Amino acid sequence: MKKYILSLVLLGTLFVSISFISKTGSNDSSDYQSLYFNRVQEFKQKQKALFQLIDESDLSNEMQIEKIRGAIQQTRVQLKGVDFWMRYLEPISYKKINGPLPVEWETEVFEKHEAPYKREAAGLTLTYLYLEEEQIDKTELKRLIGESVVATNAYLADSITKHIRTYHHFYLCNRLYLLNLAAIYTTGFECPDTEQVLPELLRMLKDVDQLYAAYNKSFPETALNEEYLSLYKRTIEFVFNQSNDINTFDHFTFIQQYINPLYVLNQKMILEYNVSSKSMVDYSLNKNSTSIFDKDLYFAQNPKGIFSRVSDTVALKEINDLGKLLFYDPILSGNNLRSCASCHLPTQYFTDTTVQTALQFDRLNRLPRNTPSLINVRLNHLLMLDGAHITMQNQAKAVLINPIEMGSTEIEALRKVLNCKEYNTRFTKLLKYTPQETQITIDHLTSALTAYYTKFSNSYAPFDEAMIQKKAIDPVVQEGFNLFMSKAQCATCHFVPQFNGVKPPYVNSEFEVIGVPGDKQFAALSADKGRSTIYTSDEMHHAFRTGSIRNATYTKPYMHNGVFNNLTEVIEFYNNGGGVGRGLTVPNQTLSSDSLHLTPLEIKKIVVFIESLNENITFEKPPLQLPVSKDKMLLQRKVGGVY
Amino acid sequence: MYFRNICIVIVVVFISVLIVSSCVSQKKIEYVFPDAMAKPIQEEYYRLSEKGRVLYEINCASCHTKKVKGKMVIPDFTEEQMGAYSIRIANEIHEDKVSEARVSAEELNLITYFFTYKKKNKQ
Repeated sequence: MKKYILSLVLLGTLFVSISFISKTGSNDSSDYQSLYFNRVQEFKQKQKALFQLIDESDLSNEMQIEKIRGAIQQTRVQLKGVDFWMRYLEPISYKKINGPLPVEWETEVFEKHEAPYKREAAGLTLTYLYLEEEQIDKTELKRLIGESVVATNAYLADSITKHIRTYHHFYLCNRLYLLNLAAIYTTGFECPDTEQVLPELLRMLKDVDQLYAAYNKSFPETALNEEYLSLYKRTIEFVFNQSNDINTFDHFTFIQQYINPLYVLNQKMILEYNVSSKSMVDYSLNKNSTSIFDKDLYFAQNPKGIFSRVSDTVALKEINDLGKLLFYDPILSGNNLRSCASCHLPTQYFTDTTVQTALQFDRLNRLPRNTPSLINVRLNHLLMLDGAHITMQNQAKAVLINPIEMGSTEIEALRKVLNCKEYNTRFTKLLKYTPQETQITIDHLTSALTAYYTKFSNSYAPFDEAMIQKKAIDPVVQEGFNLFMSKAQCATCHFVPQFNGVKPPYVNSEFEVIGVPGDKQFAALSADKGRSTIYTSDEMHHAFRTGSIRNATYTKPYMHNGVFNNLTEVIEFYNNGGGVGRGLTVPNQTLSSDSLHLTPLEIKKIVVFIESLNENITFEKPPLQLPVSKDKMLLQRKVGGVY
Repeated sequence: MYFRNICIVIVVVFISVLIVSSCVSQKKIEYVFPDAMAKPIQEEYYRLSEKGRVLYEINCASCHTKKVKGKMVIPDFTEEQMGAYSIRIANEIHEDKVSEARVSAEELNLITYFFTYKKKNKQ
């Protein structure tokens, strides 16, 4: 009897353990969550092995260093399997795992509302670059990898892994992945060895394909549809059939025929499945955008300002008309002789192409910086080349009260405007749209101004049309774009789709130090301190926010001080390695000082590509007259001002 | 005995909730400023808080102002709960209604002033 019971117990134990084993068995790579955990663990093991190897290596021995390089490469490849999740779920830890720059002045999440702080990156890219140094310190090398191992632990914390249990994060991770495929992954932005860019890309595409399969199995209700999956398979085939050289890779076709259509399908699924975000990563991205090249891909500025909730078309027209009058009205300046249109000429893409920098208020001296075009300002989170302002309305106010620009005061400007009966009546009628304000404020004026000039920022260029509608385009444009994305390294700072310094997930603007000279002879570095006048730091000396190259054909002269007169000069400047390449001392230059080895023909092709970014903007004629004032002095005002 | 005690507690709590809630009136918003705050600064914050109140009414009240015992009650939110711009992604409705395109950062600040200085509801 005892024997019988014992065998029964044994049998029971066996049954329980079998069921347990089979349960863990079914939880292998076919299960989405297990795939996540397995891949993070595998990556961590690779990182640890790399750390061990560094610890045991003799760094004076080139053979051993080569071995470390190999191990870094293997770890990078392993990273491609988890990159999809990591970048989205915890972007700050990611910088410790594969940060592109040793020191960055960045904000935690979103630059608009936080002061930047100095962040030291770590991880694989920096370790690889550090190995190129003449003196390699083992402690530093170990720190670079050690910190990345610690950072990886974040991805195993419950606060992160809880997101993996629902489907929402998946489509948002995927959106970021597709945007990075268009903007970063093929440019060598964070892959120091350009030969590895395409093999790593292919590996990532395949790893994500497996991830898709696991996801669809685990979340059949909200699965990726067949159309998406089949296009994705064709994307892998496309990359597989390309050569391994990024300089011959067809970036144009990759984005036009594959990545952008995949993005469109993913956006549809985001809406269809009611995907909801809980992450600051998605702060700026627009769920309703229908293409990567949609001007509303992300939201950066509120052009309507205080009138933001106005949707009534009659009122909007009135705001626009008042904004236009004010834009041309010198009443906003201290001496009633200058208007916004004095420097931002509406007939010249809202800049002034005839002067290097504009006249100061005193009509004698020149301003230190070139007048920026107002087209597409709304696509920047930080305004001005030093990022001084976070809203367009505050920026407008700053010009108004700047003693060397328009030389007025808020009170004076408002008083003079309201003394004109027409302005007073028309703005008073709009007061009902801003019930929080009992009277007309300077914000009503600046909001009308920004609403007016921003309407010229909604147009598309032939390049956008080629991308969005898959229209054919001049083959030279395509070649120029491919150079832009690869050999010329332009796209490592001017990111798809706006070709400004805002990169996925489009919440921050990048600032770069390129060593722009004070004059064309390169006698000295421009004295302008740039970003460091706003946030004092050594890294930010002479740093400027990366501008967009859209409409660049029509917005000469170029650079913050307007030192270059045509696009060829600008590209030559980069081709020669910026300021350092031309012999200037710029210890913190973020641009490589090596030559890009671009031929004159290649430069020409890049210029043709830039020309394809000229937007089809319809400009307007100036107003015929300005509102009459009770003040006799103000009756002399000229439309647009006199200087 | 034990059951009776619980019953008494429940009844007492119920009655006190009734009394308290009937006292709450949202017709006129009262503000409470720290005593240490100078009068002119109090007046400035009053002005800003009132702007915040209007913005709350426009953007938030349709979901957040609730009828409690026949009276419309504006809830209390701490500065921490307002959470700067993270409020924009607090939930699906906020993604749309409190998006940057609809409520600017400055306006969010005004709404936060309103909740900071608004007299708290009686518990």
